[in-house]
Amino acid sequence: MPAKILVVEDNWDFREILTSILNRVGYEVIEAAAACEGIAKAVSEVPNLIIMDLGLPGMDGIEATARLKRNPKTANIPVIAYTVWSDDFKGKAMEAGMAEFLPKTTPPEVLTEIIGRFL
Amino acid sequence: MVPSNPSAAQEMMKLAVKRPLRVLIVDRSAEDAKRLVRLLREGGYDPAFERVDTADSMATALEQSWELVIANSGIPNFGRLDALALLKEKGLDLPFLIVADIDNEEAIVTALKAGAHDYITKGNLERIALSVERELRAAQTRRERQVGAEHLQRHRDLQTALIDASLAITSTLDLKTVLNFLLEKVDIVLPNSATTVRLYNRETGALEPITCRNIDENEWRAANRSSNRNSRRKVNRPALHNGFPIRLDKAYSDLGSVDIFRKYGFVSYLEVPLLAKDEMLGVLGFYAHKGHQFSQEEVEFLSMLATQAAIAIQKSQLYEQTRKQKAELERANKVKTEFLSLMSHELRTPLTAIIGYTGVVRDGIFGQLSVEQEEALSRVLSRSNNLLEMIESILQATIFETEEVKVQIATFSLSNFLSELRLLYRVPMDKDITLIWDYPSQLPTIRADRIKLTHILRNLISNAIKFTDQGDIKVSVRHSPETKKVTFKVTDTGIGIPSKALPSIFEMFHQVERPETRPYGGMGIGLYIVEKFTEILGGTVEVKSKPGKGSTFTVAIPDGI
Repeated sequence: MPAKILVVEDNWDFREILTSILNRVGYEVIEAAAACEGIAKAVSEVPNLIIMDLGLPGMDGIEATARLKRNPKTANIPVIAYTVWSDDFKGKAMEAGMAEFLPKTTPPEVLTEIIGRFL
Repeated sequence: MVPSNPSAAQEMMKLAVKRPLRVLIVDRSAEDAKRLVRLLREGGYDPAFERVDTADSMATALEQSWELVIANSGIPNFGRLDALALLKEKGLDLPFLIVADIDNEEAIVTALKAGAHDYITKGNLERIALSVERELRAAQTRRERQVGAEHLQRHRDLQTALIDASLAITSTLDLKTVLNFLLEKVDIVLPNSATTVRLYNRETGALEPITCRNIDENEWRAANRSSNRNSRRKVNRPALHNGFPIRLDKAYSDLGSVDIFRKYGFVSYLEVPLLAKDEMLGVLGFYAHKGHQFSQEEVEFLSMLATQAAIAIQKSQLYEQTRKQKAELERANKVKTEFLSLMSHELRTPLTAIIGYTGVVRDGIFGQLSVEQEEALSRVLSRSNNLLEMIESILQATIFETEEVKVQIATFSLSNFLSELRLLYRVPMDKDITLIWDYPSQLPTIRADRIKLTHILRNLISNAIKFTDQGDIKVSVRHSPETKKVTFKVTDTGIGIPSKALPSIFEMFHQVERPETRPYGGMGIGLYIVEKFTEILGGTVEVKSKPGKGSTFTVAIPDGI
């Protein structure tokens, strides 16, 4: 069974880009366009990995991750930050329990390599 | 006898025409008084006299004006000394002659000491006219001297006022404060006058009320408003034309706002222009009560005061102008910063999406690509990343302008840090450049702001790559345990920087102007960020460069701040 990856990203373009890359490698992709939707899908689907945008409308990706980490059902799912935010937020992201901090400009090759480490 | 000089001629006139003389005689005997009067008449005077022999009658008599007092002796209870004292009490400085007995020398000396001016002995009364003449002349001199002293004192007061005024204008920039202080000084010369300051508004051509003294300001302003409304031509005032003061003794018809001044009883008007460097700033108006005519001295003082006022006004106007311009500049700068920040944010998202899609296509996720297609897309990626870097630089620079940049110090391995940095330059460059990393295999952990250090080095390395067409770019790193400093050196074999351009390369938006036709991209923000971050980290940045040979940038930052 292929690994299941949840992409929480409000921007359609980046959902499309991530889905293209991840499908190509053979992962199953579930999409969510907001933090709450993401948390709900994480609880119901229990994916193997979550790729989380930080600048989400309403609740941001860091807060969403912190909540996921507090929920025993989702606490062990690795969450990777995927963002245009500067490295200045890396500390906070890691504090919230994120496993990696990737800029959205990360080349597909590098992205898949890093994701591969967690699966 | 032919008079040889004017004063001799006057003497002769006196002889010919009897000189009127108002004389007060203190004497018990009417007969003695008459004798004195007769002797005076014989001496060339035409005396009008009154005889008094008590303190009361003398006090009453002194309500009229006298030129001379002659006091005889022998009045019980009202002696010569009493008469002298009474005169002093009334504040009168009249020539005081005593008629005395020749053998009573002691009485004479006492009287002279008490303030009598001269004495005549009873046996020598014929000489009284001469004595009177001398004393009248002496009194005249005394009066003149007194006037001179008063004049001098007044002159000193005016000088002091002008010095105070010039001190006042150098110590404050608030226009009304200075002007009100200057107007106070007007009281020295014109205690009961009203003063007004009106300034010429170049846009509307009207004289606008600024401040006034000794009249109700609201009333005056209201009067000015209505007069300005009624007649714009009122601006064509003489003082505005030729720059000289004008004096009007009956000012009714010429004043724009007469009613208010008439109400206060002001009739005479003096208008002095406020001139600073030949520029007409406005007018100072002085209003005096009926009967006052402005003297030359007053006009001069007020003109000098006007000069001081003009300087104060001009200074204050310049200050106000500078203050406004500063506020405008600050606002414009804020708008610029906000605009840049917003633009950068808005540009970043679509550009990142472009990079994302291009990466997906280039990596063959949507199907196999030809070598040429892959190369072309690699260039698209490379250029897009350059563009994104520029946008991020702008964002970074606007952050410097708007908020305080926080330093986040952490302990990290310098070796790890450099390995991660190297990863960014793994992608092959489309130039014939070799990137050489030169650092010892054993490097310690350091305490510094890792992110800012990354920014510094990335900017230096991208600059080196940008300005080098072929050759080597060497990144050297050394840690000195003695000085607790880490030194980063980025050396290129690029086009170099002309020495005269070196001092300004760290300025924002600065790029060295080059005669070559080939443009180098970028906006001149990279080095600005390098310098700012280095400064924030408490380090130093140095540059050495030879045009045509290459440049070396050296950044040294403390290990642990």
